[in-house]
Amino acid sequence: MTHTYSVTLHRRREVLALVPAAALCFWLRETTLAANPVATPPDAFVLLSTLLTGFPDVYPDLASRLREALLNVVPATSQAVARLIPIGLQASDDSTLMMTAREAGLGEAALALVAAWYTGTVGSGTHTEVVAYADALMYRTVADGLAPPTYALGGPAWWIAAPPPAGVSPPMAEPVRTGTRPARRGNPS
Amino acid sequence: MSVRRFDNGDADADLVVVGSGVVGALIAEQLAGAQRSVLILEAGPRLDRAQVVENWRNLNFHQRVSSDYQSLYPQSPLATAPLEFPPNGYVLLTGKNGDSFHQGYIRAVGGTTWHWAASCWRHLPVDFRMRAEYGVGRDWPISYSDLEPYYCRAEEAMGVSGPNDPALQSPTERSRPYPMDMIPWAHGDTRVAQIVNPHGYRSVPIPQGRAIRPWNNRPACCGNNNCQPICPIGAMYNAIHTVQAAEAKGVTVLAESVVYAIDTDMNNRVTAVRWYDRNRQPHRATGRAFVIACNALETPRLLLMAANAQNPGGIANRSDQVGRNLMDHSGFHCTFLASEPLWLGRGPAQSSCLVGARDGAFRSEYSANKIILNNISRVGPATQQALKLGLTGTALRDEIRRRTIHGVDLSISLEPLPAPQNRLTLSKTRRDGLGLPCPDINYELDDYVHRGYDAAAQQLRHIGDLFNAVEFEVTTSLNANNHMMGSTIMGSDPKDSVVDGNCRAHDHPNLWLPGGGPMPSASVVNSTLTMAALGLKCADSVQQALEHA
Repeated sequence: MTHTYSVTLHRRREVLALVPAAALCFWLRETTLAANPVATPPDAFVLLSTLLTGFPDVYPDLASRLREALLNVVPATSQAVARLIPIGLQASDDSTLMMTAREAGLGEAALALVAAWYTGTVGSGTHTEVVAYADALMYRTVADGLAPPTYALGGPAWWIAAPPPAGVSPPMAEPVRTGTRPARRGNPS
Repeated sequence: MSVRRFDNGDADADLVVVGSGVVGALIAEQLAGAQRSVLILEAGPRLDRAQVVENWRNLNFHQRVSSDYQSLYPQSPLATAPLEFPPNGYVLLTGKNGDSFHQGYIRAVGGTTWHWAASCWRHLPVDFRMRAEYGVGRDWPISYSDLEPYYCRAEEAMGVSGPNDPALQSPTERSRPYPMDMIPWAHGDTRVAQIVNPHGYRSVPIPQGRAIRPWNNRPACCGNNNCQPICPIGAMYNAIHTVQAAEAKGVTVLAESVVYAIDTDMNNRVTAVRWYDRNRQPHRATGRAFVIACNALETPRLLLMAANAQNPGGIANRSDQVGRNLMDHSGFHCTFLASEPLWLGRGPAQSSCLVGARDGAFRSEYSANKIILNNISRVGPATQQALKLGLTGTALRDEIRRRTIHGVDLSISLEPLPAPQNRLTLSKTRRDGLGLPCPDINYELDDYVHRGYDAAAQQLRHIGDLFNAVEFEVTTSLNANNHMMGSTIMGSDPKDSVVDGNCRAHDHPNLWLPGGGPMPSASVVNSTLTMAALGLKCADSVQQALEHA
């Protein structure tokens, strides 16, 4: 998985600075009035995605596929995401972005965008489009110790090596309880 | 010896095998090696592994995280297999526990071992004597020692890696070592065993149909962690390996050939089977010996739909037991987050299992259990859970990582007892693509299983405590495990059983019905190795019968 292009968070303001004010105003007006995601400057969409996902180097080609799938599969979400972009340009981090997004009624759209990046699937139920498998961001959270299933981290018996350091705090303790999940379908052994 | 093919598409062979799964393929290969002409008729299509892998990667996240192991496999429109995403309604389930019997099986060349986990367990010796020892269930007409040499041959045929240290074996009664020693454990298997074994849960290595070195034209396992639903590199045994070996020995395999009728003569010997080709044209295959090895649902379905004037209740069904005594290991799951990172998902999908409650005097009262430590990557479920929390940014990244590396999924199997009312019949209203009746199944579990659930749930709560579990959950309803058994049950009395100890039909001297169907007890372990061993015992029986014919 070699990505030749990346937009890092520290570059964000630099990119913003490169967007001429008039063009920005034009683009904001277009996206707000027409809610046409195709008119969204790619960098702005990538910037929004980096803020929301926590990955400073999301894959631009995947961003294009994802944006197109949003338009095809969930056009209402696509329009809402277009409205998120100016909010993203103003936000300093994902928390403030989400706070503003929720106030604007765009919180669900923001989470849908995050879910698409992390799962590689746009949409839900039977109406979905898969835009990524191995490049889905969920796999990058543990890429130092687990490959996406069907891939491998080495040759035969690579797995006997010690796993990498956890790098995160352990789960928060809570009282043990018995859940009431329904049975699974499938999962043969 | 070659199969004779006629201009009209009909065929003649010494042995006609219906079904190209592990059982049918092993029998075909053996008989071809004994210079017999062998024809395999397979209802489903041939599969291309690379395409199936791509199909899996292109399933949506919801299907993958819900373990949809069916949709990636292409089906013939004339030979439906069950689908759940969305449900295709091929099998109608009724009865109190019908919902626990959603079986996922593949109708294609190579059969359901395309998406198994390659766990190659033996029954315990006592599993063959449930009635005699514990006063429940049924006894087999053969003993463990009768089947033991065939277990060895099946392990050899499937290239099993298993523990050669007797302290780690279940059972320990073996005449030969495993072909290869156990698959080495990852950190998660090792830590779980260290934590639970002092408390009697007995975590042991799962014998597996894969190896960490090349074996018999298979590559070494590289821990791609996708045994289910498709090993991307063919390191895991599946019956396509045996099908290919059989074809190299001269076996003819006809895919997309759906058998629908069975002809018998005045002595009730089978003379031919009839099949439809992919263009819905009927054909006939004559032979001297016939093996029906579809699986424990499709075999009784065929026997019932093939009823003829001489066998009005169905082929091999004078006992009225065809389709009855259906069993599957009733399953449920326990999930939690352990206080220490276990990093499950490194290596093959299943490598260790808790067998401490596999046997004991309690089996006169309630079901045994086994607890598999699923080693399937937890990234998918962890992501699903973390997204539900509404997290974004680095908090989301960290939460997915935390839930993945601390997450545990235990898959528990319980043992049902054979009961005649658990039964497959033919639908009077639903038809498949060829107009053949679809299967209806009535399934109800008795208190033997429910008490076994309660006992296992108590053990699981203790195990959760050992790991300082967070978000400890146990599923409260039961799920299928795709280990269908019992529906052509084996016995010594033709009045209450379908086949004898060689899987030969009591009613037809040249018809064998091997596989899961003959198994009179389920044990709690995956059924495939026992099915394969029964298949090889059946192969010897077929071979002897042909020699004496």
